[in-house]
Amino acid sequence: MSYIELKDICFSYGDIIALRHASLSVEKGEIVMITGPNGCGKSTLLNIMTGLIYPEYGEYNFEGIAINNRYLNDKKAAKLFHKKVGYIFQNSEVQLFCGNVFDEVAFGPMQMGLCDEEVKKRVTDCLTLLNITQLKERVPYHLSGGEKKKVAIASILAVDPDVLILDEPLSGLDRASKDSIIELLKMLHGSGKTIIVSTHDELLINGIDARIVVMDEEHKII
Amino acid sequence: MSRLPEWMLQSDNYIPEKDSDSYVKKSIIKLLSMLSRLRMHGGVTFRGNAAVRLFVMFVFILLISLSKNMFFVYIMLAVLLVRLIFVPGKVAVQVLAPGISAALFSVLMLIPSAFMGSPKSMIFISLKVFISASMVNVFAVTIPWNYITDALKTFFVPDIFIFILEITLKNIIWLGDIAYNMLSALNMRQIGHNRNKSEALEGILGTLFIKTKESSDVTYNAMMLRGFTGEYRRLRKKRFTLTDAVYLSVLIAVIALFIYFERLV
Repeated sequence: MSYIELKDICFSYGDIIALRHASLSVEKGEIVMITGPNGCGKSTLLNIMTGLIYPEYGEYNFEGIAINNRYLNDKKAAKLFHKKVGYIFQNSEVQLFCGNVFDEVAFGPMQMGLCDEEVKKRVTDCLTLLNITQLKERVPYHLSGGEKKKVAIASILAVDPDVLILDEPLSGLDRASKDSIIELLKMLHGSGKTIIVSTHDELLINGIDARIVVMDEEHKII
Repeated sequence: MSRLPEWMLQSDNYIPEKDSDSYVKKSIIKLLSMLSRLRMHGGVTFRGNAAVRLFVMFVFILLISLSKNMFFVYIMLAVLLVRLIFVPGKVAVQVLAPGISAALFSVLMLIPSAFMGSPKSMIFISLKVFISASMVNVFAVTIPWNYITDALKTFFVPDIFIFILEITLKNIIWLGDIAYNMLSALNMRQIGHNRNKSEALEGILGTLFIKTKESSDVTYNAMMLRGFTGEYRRLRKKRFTLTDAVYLSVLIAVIALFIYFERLV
């Protein structure tokens, strides 16, 4: 059994079909890029993988466990699942809600019950990794789109997830920032993390040696 | 770029602590049901003249509130129930639920009158409240908002009022989506024991507030740049359908019945 397995997934928003019998397997430590035209269901697929929504038909397994409403209703199981699977939204500003960047990045590690020293270390390391140390006292809402994206990535990395799911991670970034995110993804992949990215960006597709998964306008994985 | 820190190269041996955070999940479910209701409303197809419906509803409510005759109120209840036959079950529930809540609230407020010797007035007023609230709901649920604002324009409601209404309606769904995403993100990031639950929610509310303000400013500026001078103009063709004719016929019959029954009092 694969690390992440989606079998024959169907999903629709009312009358609008988002996914039609989509199947996908991802092995541990693999890097996968999902690409396809707008509205083909990429974000819906990622939302299912993160447990935000549940398939109407089909099955989603993570580490051999069926991820469904019943499983995620168990609070402990849900928390552990969300610790293992980190998600960076396409509009990453929706995941920022703390008073400043430092608190934002510290939000996850604080909940893990780590000691203050360890929390500070994780926050500093993540801010350094994304080259945003100078932003730590700033209010997230007032940052630029690219800075918000980097803060969102830092806040997810601080909890050290095993799987990183990113929805259009390069959108709204300048060339230098794009290069640094690509470099970061390569390093994370090199460290054994499983990475799933939805993207249109050719720079990202060409910049990383990844398995490419293509979706079509019929909402199917080709 | 600096190297990955040591802790990121090892796997955390983490077991989550117990924490009560069902408020986030409950908020998400509530928000989702509200958004799906609003979206369902957005998809309502309507053929007819909203101004006629608005006028009929207004006169019905006026007559119900003026009536002193219980029999006339029963007739209006029958009119409401007949109207509900023509809507799907889900919509009927949407119409009746707020009406029943409003009626129950009136009963609660009027309980003292029952003890003071006029229990009939408690039933009479509560029934009037139920019918009026349900009629407003029938109108609101079965007619798309853009038609409602059109109808308001027909009745010379000030443009600034229509503008605020339209911006508000547009923002409710948009902000609802953002709120849903923010709550989902919070839910996903709550991987342990959150000591400052209120802080995260305050942050979400603060962001939503700022976004609302910014969005309405941007929309207004965009409208100004496209030539909006404070006056609403629409090119939608005003239809008059057979259903509108039926509505007007029922209105005439109801007015006649009102006059007849009021003379009996």
